[in-house]
Amino acid sequence: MTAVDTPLRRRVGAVLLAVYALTVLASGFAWPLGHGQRSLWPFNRAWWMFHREDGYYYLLRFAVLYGDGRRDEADLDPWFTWPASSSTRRYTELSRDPATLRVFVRYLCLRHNRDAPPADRWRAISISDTSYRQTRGRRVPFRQVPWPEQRVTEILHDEPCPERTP
Amino acid sequence: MTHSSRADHWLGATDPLPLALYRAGFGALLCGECLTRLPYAKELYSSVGFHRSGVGAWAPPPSVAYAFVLVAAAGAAAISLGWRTRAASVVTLAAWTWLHAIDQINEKALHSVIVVVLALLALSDAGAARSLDARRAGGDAPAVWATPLRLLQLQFAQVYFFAGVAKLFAAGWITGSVLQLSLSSRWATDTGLWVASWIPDVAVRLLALLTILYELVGPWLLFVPWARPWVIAFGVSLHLGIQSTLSIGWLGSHFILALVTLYPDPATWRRVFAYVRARLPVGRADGMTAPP
Repeated sequence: MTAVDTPLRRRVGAVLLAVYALTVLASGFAWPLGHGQRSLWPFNRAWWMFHREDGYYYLLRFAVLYGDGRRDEADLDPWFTWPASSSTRRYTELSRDPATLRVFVRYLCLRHNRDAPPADRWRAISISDTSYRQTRGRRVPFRQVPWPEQRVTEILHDEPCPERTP
Repeated sequence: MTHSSRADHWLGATDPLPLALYRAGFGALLCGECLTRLPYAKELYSSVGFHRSGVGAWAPPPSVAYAFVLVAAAGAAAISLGWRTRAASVVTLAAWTWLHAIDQINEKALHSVIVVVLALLALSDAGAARSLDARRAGGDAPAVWATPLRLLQLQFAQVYFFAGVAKLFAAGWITGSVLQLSLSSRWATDTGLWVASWIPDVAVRLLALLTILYELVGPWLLFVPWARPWVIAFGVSLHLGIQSTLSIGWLGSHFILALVTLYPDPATWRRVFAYVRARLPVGRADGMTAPP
């Protein structure tokens, strides 16, 4: 044995290897065996690269309602500059479940209304998910997709903004 | 391999070179990633941004978020140079894990692998060779504890294997449709889109099957000496192909780095260094002047 090869290190090493192997094997096989909730972070996050792809582009759109009844589409890109992919921003990666999007509406309202003049404050936001089939070998911008080829699902309709900003 | 030599392999002492090379490359890659994220720290990690993680409510003010990203970048640079390597690994692990926990909307496989790698580097003697720490200590250590290196080898092998298992159970991977659609998805690079425009379906299916086969069998063969060079060569080709066609950050570069540093016999790298050193026009690669 050398100075780096001590009985203590060997015992620690054996324990580490055993714990690592058990954790990884249990986490790795938990999902195919139908017990994905039993797999452990951070190991269970590393196995899903390009795990599925349904052939559609998805885009969240935000229709805002002003106090005087005007409606407009909100452009969130100035607040979300990180390129989540070649054609989308981070908010597009949000889960589409209504609970998550309600929290997002609250965030958007508070952020906008904090600085906006009273006449331009948002009263409610509708969120729709627009999807369209990808074109093989081409990245087609949303604006160039004909209306009949767009599939629009409204997830939240006029979700009210919080009354007061903190 | 006898019981004793198997125990030596997993628990004893080993050549410090593989860990040192991996550490230098990983630190540089992570430093680059942190610097890329720095201009976006306000959106990604601060209380001004939107977060859906458990710790999102405790996201710091923008100035602190910028500081955290800078600390992670500086820590990664220190890891690469091998300066106070263990302390740098612990600091970078803490900073990166905190940032990673805040931004779960943008979370990718690459980011969780970094957490495990930093934890293993903190445990290892990765700064014992080819580092400022080694220079301060009077030279490279002749040997380091083998277990952290073996754990790193297992880490990359298990990511391959269980990614293969996930693809095996995913509808559309065996038929090649997931790969075909990915090449035209929002993750596709311009090269990926170009490939998708002409590649025949049968070729995509073959590539998909080869990917699954590699991910399921390759990680086991990485531990078989006669097969290892072939697995590494195939793996590097696979990652170069993926890296050029799909936007995956530095996942591909990281796995190529792991394949070429952590698994080969250290003697291979020593031969490469000797070859390069012999052909350097002046002095030697380690900064010492060659005798006349």
